[in-house]
Amino acid sequence: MNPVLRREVMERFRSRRAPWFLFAWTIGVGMIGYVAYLVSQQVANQVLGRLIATQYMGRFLFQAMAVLMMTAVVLIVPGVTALSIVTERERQTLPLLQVTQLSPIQLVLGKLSSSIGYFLLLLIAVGPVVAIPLLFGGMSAGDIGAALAMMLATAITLGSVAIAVSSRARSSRGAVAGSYAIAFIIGFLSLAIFLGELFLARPSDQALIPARGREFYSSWLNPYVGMVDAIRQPLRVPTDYTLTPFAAFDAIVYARQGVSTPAISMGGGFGGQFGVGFAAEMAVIQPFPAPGQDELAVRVRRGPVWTRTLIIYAAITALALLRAAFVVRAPARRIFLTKRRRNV
Amino acid sequence: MGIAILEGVEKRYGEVMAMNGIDLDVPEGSIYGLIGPNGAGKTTSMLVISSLLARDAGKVEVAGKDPQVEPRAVRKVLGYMPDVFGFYENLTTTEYLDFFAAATKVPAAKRPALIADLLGLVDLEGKADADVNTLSRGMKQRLSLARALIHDPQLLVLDEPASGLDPRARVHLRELIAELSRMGKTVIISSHILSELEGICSHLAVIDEGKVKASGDLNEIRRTLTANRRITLRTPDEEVDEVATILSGQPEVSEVDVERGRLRFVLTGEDEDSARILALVIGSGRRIYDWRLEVAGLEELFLSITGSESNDS
Repeated sequence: MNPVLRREVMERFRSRRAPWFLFAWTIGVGMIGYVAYLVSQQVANQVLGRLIATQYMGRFLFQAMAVLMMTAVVLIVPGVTALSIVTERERQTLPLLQVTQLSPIQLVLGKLSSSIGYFLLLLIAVGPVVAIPLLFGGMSAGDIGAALAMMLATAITLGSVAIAVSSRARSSRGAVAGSYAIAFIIGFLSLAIFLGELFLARPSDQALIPARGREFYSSWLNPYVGMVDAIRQPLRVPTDYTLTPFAAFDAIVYARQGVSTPAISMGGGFGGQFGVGFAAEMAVIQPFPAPGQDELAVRVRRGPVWTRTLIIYAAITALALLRAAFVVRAPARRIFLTKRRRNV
Repeated sequence: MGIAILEGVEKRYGEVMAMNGIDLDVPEGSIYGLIGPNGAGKTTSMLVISSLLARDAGKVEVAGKDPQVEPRAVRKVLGYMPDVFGFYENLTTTEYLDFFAAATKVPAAKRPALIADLLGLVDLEGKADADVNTLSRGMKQRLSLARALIHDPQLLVLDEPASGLDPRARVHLRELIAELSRMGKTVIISSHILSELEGICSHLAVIDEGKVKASGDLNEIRRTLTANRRITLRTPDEEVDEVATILSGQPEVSEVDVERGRLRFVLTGEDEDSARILALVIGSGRRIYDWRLEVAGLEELFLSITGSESNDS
């Protein structure tokens, strides 16, 4: 076992903060899960029939939990990881590690695995809450596996970026701010960039989403889109499509293939304005469902987003870890002083 | 051949030349003191030796290896103790040492006995289960020394180890360093408080403004720098004048002075001359109660090496 990981785990779990945070986190996720349950129950009872409603509730809860957990990855992992190297520097333990037989990459991987391990513990702690949708049905084990895999990939990527930022930071505050800035760009700003791409990059005389769909490059970076795309594989359009927590991300996933969803048709009104409904008809291979058929196959014109997301994340992770290892290697060209150290 | 050799090493931080052609040759088994004012280049030299900082120019060898080319090989034979105690929260002293033992690839099976031995060596066996944060500064410094020793290095690099310690803790630390020397370790130790190194160093380098002003065997430096040595002697009051007369007649003796019943004079010769003059006085039938060569302290040496230049500047 990596000694850095072992020490980090001991240090982290002996602090007073750890159990309190775990307690607050579990309560918080439980409450959000309960609210999601109430909302899904309300929608299901009012809009849908009872049998479908149960499955719908399961799907709704699963999607709500998946979005919630992915948001937790974006909000928690950078905070947990950002202090890893800068704290070593501030408490002046980094040179002590550098003169051991640990290689820089071992040091960096020890830090990363400790943060990811902590996040996995948070995930396991809320496992019972997250598993509630399984009681309702409406999703497969593969869906859950795809969601967890994308969350893990995102956690590793954001953790690696946070370690790279931490290795260069001169203060804890700077490390946290820098790590969150990048996490927000990847997690949230990429969606805003998507909107910009949607409106600014389109040819003036064509619809926002042409009938044959369109590639949205910014969506490749977004963990939510990647996760939803992975869960949606192989791409099908549900015949009973109702708005769920995935709706906004579904819109991107399906619009790439030229399929409209209610989110696109309703969102911002551009469905009617630019004729996305027309695109849906063109993209669905079999426009009219047979009796009892609840999904329609989609003519896939573009490869899945999630593979692109994983390739990008793998590249970011590798670059970030190598960068961090390069910065913490010794002998260094210069002494890296933190703000706290300079004040001593 | 020294265990650590620096030849013409240069290191620059922007406009500041921290090491300006430093030459050092640290003999195996020595306690090598680096003395100099703050900012002289002592810590930078230690960082370069310890494979933590890359030099700009010059040559460095530690146990025959270049710290810049083979840092991991150098780290196997080197224990480094910085001027501040880096600690982790919520760890006991045993866990703290165990972590560094694991990080230096000490086999897990050997660690418990090794840690117990080290805690005994630094007199912390009673604190094996104490939280590191609850230790006094002196205890932390000793724990830090134990950490530096965890992989049984040949060479210890101790940067200002006694800074911030109370007098008792300093004495304890000095005894510990002397013990390590007896165990065959080579110790490079720095301080800008010269009295800290008094009495424990076998070798010395005086560093100022990034340059070595003098280096080598401490006694040799003393001899070179204090060619005029002062001798104090005590004799019965009624014989003081006669002894003073005998001394004044010797060509190697000058500045004979009587001060509160003691005679003091400056000897320009060697140890042999001192012995000859003492034999001469005793041979004349005078009684000598005490004959003492005043050894120049490190502060005196430091001032004699750097004082004139400081005055010039």
